[in-house]
Amino acid sequence: MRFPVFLLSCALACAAPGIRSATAQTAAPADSSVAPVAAPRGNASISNPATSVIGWFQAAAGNDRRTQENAFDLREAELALQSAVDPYAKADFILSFSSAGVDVEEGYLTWLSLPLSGQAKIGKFRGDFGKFNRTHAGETPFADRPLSTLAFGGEEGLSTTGLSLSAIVPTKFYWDATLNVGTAPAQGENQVFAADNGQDLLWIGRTSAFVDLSEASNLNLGVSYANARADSSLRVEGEHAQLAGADVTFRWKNPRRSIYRSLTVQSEYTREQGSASGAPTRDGWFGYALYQFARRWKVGARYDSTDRTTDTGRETGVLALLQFQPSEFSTMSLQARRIHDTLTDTDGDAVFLKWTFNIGPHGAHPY
Amino acid sequence: MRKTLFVLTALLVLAPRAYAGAAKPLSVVTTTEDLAAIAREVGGDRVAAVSLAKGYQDPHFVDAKPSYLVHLQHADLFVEVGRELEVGWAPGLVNGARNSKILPGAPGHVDASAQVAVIEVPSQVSRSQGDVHPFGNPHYNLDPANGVPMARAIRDGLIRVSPGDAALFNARCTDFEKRLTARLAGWKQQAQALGLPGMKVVTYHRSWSYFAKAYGLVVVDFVEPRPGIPPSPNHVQDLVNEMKTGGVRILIMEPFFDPRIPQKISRDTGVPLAVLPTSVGAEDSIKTYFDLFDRMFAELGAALKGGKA
Repeated sequence: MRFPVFLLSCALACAAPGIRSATAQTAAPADSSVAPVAAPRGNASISNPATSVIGWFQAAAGNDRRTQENAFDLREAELALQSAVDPYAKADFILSFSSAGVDVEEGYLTWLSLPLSGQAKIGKFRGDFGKFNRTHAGETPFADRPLSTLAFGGEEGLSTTGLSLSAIVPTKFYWDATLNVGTAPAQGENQVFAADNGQDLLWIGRTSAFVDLSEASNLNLGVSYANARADSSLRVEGEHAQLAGADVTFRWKNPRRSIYRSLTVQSEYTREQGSASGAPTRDGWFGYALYQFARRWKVGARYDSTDRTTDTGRETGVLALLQFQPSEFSTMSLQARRIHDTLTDTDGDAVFLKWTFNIGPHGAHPY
Repeated sequence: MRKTLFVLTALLVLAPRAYAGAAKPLSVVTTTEDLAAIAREVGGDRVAAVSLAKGYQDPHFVDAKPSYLVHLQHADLFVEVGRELEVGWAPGLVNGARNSKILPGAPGHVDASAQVAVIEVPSQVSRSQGDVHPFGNPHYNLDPANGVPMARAIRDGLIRVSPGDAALFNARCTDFEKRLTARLAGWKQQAQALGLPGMKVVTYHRSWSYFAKAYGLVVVDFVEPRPGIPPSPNHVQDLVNEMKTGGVRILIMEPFFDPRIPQKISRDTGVPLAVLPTSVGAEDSIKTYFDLFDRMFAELGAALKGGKA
């Protein structure tokens, strides 16, 4: 008799946390981390969103400056406005000002805590395809984007306006799953996808896992899939084009000396195929290593190899960089790149000086 | 039969509560090990406290690893040092944890600095000053007297998320305050015996302002020319000259900085170098908030006497 009662009690006790997590939180001041302090606050008005600007200045020289025509260019001034909307959601706006005009690079609302460890986003955002795609160009270590991301994602990367749902899978390690659905890229935005009209949708799915290998090192693995109507040039290979990707990131940093030495090694593989049966495949990948050898210095190297979607050619590239960070808020790097075109058997070279600088509240350290 | 039914019903209603209470302690996730240690003092067996950063890590620079989300996802209470100490990593983790209980403003979100008398609040904030904290110096944990407001902030948070245990948390908090207050006089005596009041010191980062204020140390300069900016050769040379002529008695640094430059300064000036723990967990033997100050005074004493603690 006692045993069934015990079982029932267990079941009820186990269910209780689930019930609790579903209850709504009380409405309290939106940001208790900014506790009242008896001091002048300067211009930082408490009701304004966190405002920061990232400047990206770049000089380029060489016979293959494909991503930058001008010798000197303010590639982008990126204005970020971020704030809690209410106790349940936050909003992020990232506006890009450049010679091409003003663009809402991202603008979305995130509901932070939904049932089943979920989160939802609506608005315009960079797609969760691979790991690199989500990083804004100015914030990557490179003067350009890796060749395979250009070939399959386009100059600005793969982004969409729509809805994103993500959830943490309940396991002992970190494992997440994300689904994006939004308006497919317009003609010319992307090399692989192009919508016929505004009703065409882009679907992206991604799942990634993160494991700590030791106190100092960890591994992040992800696979991604994207599907939308094919660009007109690829329509002969099927109505829809598909991208599949895999990415791996290894990081090392001794937490006892966290500001002096670190290593990041990342690689991403992407494969493209039309939806028609027997459609040809194209693929590309890149891998890079970035080693911090002193508090303010890093060296890095990247290797690229990718098919082009525009012809049967394949490109390979190498890039080397030396980076100096005067402070957390300013980064300069000298980079050299050689790209080899297998179709014409020619090499193109370029050197870059990239300088990014950040004003405004303390941005999160990228991870 | 009716009696059996009544007992059964009573068991069904009451047992889960008792069972859950006995078996499942509140999950408390803190940013630093000091906060976790104090949460254990206040919560006793009712809490299971884990810290995201280790005591030997620089709390300004912690990687926001997704594996931390696994802890935060199920946390009942999140406790941070506040004053933007963790601004580079904690907000993203809290936002990513999908846990409405610990979002800013929710009952399970505790800013441990809420009741602390914060010093060095700048009247004007500019990055030309380096990485200054606009809401005051966040290293208040290094004045042991601040253990009281820290414990009270944690107690208030625990009571908000588990009102049924209020009596226990109140009693344990009062007991902790009593034990801590009893030790304050002893540490003050040790400081006096070591001659700390009025002693001129140079420190690496601006971590020691509260400790210096509590024990009368006079911080005359820093190895970092500005917070977060590494020392240049010129600055080091100026510092060496200043220390030689200025009567500086000791050079204090945190364990997570590269000791080579401070060691060189110490050799060039003859001023002893003390590498002092800044948190519980900085060394394996420092398990409680009390251990932290015992160890600091032992290390200080050893450095001033020219030996090893």
